[in-house]
Amino acid sequence: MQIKAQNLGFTYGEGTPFEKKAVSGIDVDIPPGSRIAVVGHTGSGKSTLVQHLNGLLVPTEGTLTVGETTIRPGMKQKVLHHLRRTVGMVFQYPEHQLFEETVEKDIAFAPNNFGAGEKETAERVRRAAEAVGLDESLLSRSPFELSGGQMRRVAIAGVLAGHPDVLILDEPAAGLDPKGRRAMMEMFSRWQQEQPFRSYILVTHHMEDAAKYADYLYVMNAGSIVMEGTPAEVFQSPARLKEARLDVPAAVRILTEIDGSGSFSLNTYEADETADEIARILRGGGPL
Amino acid sequence: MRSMILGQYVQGDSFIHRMDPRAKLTGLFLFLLVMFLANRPAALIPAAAFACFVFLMTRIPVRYLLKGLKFIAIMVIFLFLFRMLMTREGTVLLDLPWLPIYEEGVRDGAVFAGRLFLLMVMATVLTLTTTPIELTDALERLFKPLQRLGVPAHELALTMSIALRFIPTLFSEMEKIMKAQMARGASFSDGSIVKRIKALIPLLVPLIIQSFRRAEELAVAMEARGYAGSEGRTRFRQMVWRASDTRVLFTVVLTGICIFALRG
Amino acid sequence: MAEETAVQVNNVTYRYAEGAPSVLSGLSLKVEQNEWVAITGHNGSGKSTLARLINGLLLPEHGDILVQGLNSASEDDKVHIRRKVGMVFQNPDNQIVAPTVQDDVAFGLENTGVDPQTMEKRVAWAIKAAGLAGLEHAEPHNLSGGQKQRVAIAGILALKPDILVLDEATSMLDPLGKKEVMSLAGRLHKEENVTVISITHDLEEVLRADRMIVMNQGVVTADGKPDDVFREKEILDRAGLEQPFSVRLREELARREVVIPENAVSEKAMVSALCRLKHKT
Ligand SMILES: Nc1ncnc2c1ncn2[C@@H]1O[C@H](COP(=O)(O)OP(=O)(O)OP(=O)(O)O)[C@@H](O)[C@H]1O
Ligand SMILES: Nc1ncnc2c1ncn2[C@@H]1O[C@H](COP(=O)(O)OP(=O)(O)OP(=O)(O)O)[C@@H](O)[C@H]1O
Ligand SMILES: [Mg+2]
Ligand SMILES: [Mg+2]
Repeated sequence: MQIKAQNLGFTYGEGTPFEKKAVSGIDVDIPPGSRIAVVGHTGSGKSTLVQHLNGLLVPTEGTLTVGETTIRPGMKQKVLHHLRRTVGMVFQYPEHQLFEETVEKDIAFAPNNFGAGEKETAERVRRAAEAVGLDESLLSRSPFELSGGQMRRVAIAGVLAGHPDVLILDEPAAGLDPKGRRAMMEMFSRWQQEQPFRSYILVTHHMEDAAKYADYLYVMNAGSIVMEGTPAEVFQSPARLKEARLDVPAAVRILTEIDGSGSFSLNTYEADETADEIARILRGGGPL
Repeated sequence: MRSMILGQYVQGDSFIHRMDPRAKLTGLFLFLLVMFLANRPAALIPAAAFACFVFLMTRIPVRYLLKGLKFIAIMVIFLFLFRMLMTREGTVLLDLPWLPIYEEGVRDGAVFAGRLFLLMVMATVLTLTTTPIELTDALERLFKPLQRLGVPAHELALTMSIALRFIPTLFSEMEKIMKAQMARGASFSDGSIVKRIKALIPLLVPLIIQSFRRAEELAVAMEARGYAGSEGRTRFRQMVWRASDTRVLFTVVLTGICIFALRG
Repeated sequence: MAEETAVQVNNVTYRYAEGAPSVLSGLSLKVEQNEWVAITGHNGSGKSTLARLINGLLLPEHGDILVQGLNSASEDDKVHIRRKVGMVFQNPDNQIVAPTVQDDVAFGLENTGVDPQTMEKRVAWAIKAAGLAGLEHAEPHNLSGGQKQRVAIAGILALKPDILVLDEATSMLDPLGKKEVMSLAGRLHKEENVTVISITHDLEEVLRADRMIVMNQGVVTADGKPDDVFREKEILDRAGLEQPFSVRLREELARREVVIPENAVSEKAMVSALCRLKHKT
C-alpha cells in the first residue's frame, strides 16, 4: 500500500471560533514494506497526521493518496470506510477500547465488521492471539480480568485480526516495563517482516525506539515536518532535533561528543555496535 | 452553538464581575420574585430598565449579548404564541376561524414571555460575569445553613466543581474511544435505529469503565492530599460582601416596588 | 527531623482481597532522610501498592510502616503522614481536582485547614517554584502533560512535604515534559531537602538516584547503588528490566579493552573519559 500526502493540512473545528490549525504543508511518501517512525514533542501534530491515513480525519488542505484512493478536502468520511480495512490503527493505551465479554469476541470485532465469515473470523482470532503471544486458554476469559500487559495484547490482536497491510502504532509500548517494551516492539517487527508489502508507522517520543525500529523518520514540530531521512541522516544534526525539542539516542550523543566530525555509522543503535565504533575511533579512525 | 451564550464566561473587571457571587445569585433570585408582581406588560418596564442597566455595567459589547440571545428569543416568542393561544378570556381581538385571539391571551402571553426573557437575560449576565467555580463556591456557602438540616451543600458543590473540571476530559475520551472503534470498522452513523443503538455498546462500555477508573484514581489522589470531608476545611477563595453588594440587592427591591406601583 | 529514618517498611504483607494472592509478601525496606531512592520492577510487581501503603491509603495485612516514626496504621498519625508524604501519580488527568491551576494547588491546603492569608502566599510560592507563573487561572485541560504534572507537584509542594513519592509520574510525558518534572524534583531534593522516592520504568531516571530498589513479585530482590545493581544481569532480567545504555556500553567497551574509570558514572563523565583516551592515542 503506497501512501502519499501532498501539502496536506488539517484544521480542527474549521469555521468555528475554536478553529485550531494542527498540521500544515505535510508531504510524505511511504512505499509498501516500510518501517516508518513519526517523532515530535507533545502537541506537534503526530496523532493528527496519522489519523488521516485510515480516513478518520479528512484533510482540510492538500491531498492524500492511500493505495488507489485519493482523499481531498470536503470528502465524506463514509466513502473512506474501506480504508480502515487496509490501514489498522493501535491507539495509545489500546486496552481502554476493550468492551466485549470475552477476549475472543473482542478480537473478532474488526473481522466481523469487515465482513469476514464465521470460520474465517475464528481462524483470524486464533492467529492474531498467537502473534501477540496470548495463550489460547485466555480466549474465553473476560478481558477485564487480565493483567495490564495482557489487556494490551488483546487490544493489539484485535487490530491485527482486521488483516491490515499498514499498521499505525501510536506509542504502543507506553507504560510497559523495559522487557515488555522490547518484546512489544519485536512483535511488531516480526509482523511486518512476515509479508513484503506490510508497513508500519510508529508514532513515538522514544528516540531509541525510533532509531531501532524504523528505517525512515519524519520529525514534526508545530504541525510541520521539519526533518526527514534515515535515522543516520536525521541524527547527523542534533542541534536541529533540539530545536524540535527532541533528543538524539544516547549512542549518537556519545559518539558525536567523541568524534565531532560525525563520521560514524550505526545500524542498530545498540551498545555493542556503539562500542565497536568507539573502539574504532579511539584506535585512530581506520576505515569504516 | 455560537448562538448560545448562557453558561459562558467573559473575562472582565467591571463592577458586576467583581460583585460577590453570593450577591449575584441572591440578586437573581430576588429579581425572579419581584417579576411575579407584574400582572401586565407595562409593569415589567422597571424590570427591563434594571436589566438594561445591569448589562451596560458589565461592559460586555451589546452585540455579543444580542447575538447570544437569538436562540432564547426564538424560544420566548414560541412560548408567547403558545400561551396566547391557550388563554381564552376577555374580549376577542381577532376572530380567526380556528384560533380566536383574546385580549387576555395577548396580555398574559406578553407578561409570561417578558418575565422569562428578562430572567434569561439576567441569568446570562450572571454566567457571563462569574466563573463556574465562583458560582459553585457561592452556592455552597448560601446553602451552608441548610447543612444542619441534612442538605449536603459541600458535597454537592464539590461534585459540581469536579464535574466542571472533567467535562472536557470526558469529551476527549469519548472522541478517542470512538475513533479507536471506528478504526476497527465500527460505524456509528448508519443502519436502523436498533443497529445504531447497538453500535453504541463498544463506545459506552469502555467509556463507563474508564470513568470508573478515573473516579477511583481521583478519589485516591484526593485522599492522598488530605481530603476528608468538609470538616476543618478552610477556603482559598475568600468572598467579601461589600456595602455595594447590599445596595444592588436593595435596587432589586426598589424595582419590585416600582413594579407593584405599576400593577393594573 | 535530622536523623530519623524517612520511611521504614517492616516485613509487610498485603493482598487486595481475602483469598487473593498476596501482592507484597514480607517486604522490608528503609529510606533515609534526604535520600533519592528509585524503585523499579516488572509490571505488577507491587510498586504502586507499596506507594499507597507508604502514605496510609492502604494498610498492611502483616507488618508495619513507619513514616518518620509515625505508624501508618494509627488513625491519629495518618493525618500527619499525609502531610509529610506527597504523592504524584501516573496519569496527570486523574489527579487534578479543581477547574483552575491555583484552585487545584490550594486544594491540599484547604483540606488541612490552613488560614486563607497563609494559603494565598503558599499557593503563589508553590506555583512559582513549579515554574507555572502566569498560568494561575489556566484550566487543566488546556495544559500539556508536563505542565499538568507540575501542577500536581505544585499542589503537593504547597503542603511542604518531607517526602515526595513519584509513581511513574513521567511515564505519559514527552522527553521535554520528563525533563521538566525530573529537574523540578531534583531542585526540591537539593534546595528543600525533600526525600524523593521515584517509582519508574525509565532506566535513565533510575540512574539519577542515590540508591535503587528492584522489586520482583512483591519482594525486594536488589537494593543498592544503581551502578552496582545494574551489573546484576540475572536479577534485572527476572524483574523485567534491562541494563541502561550507559552501563551496557561500559561493559561492551571493557570487552574491547577500552577501560573507563569506575568513578565516571554519568554519561558526561564517560564522554570526557573517552575523550581523554582519544587524545592519548
Ligand atoms: N480534537 C481536537 N480538537 C481541537 N484541537 C485538537 C484536537 N486534537 C488535537 N488538537 C490540537 O492539535 C494539535 C496537535 O495535536 P496532536 O494530538 O496531533 O499532537 P501529538 O503530536 O499527537 O501530541 P502527543 O504527543 O501529546 O500525543 C495540538 O495543539 C492539539 O491541542
Ligand atoms: N485495586 C486493585 N484491586 C485488586 N488487585 C489489584 C489492584 N491494584 C493492583 N492490583 C494487583 O496487584 C498487583 C500489583 O499491582 P501494582 O499496581 O502494585 O503493580 P506495579 O508494580 O505498580 O505495576 P506497574 O508497573 O504496571 O504500574 C498486580 O497483580 C495487580 O493486578
Ligand atoms: Mg498523540
Ligand atoms: Mg504502578
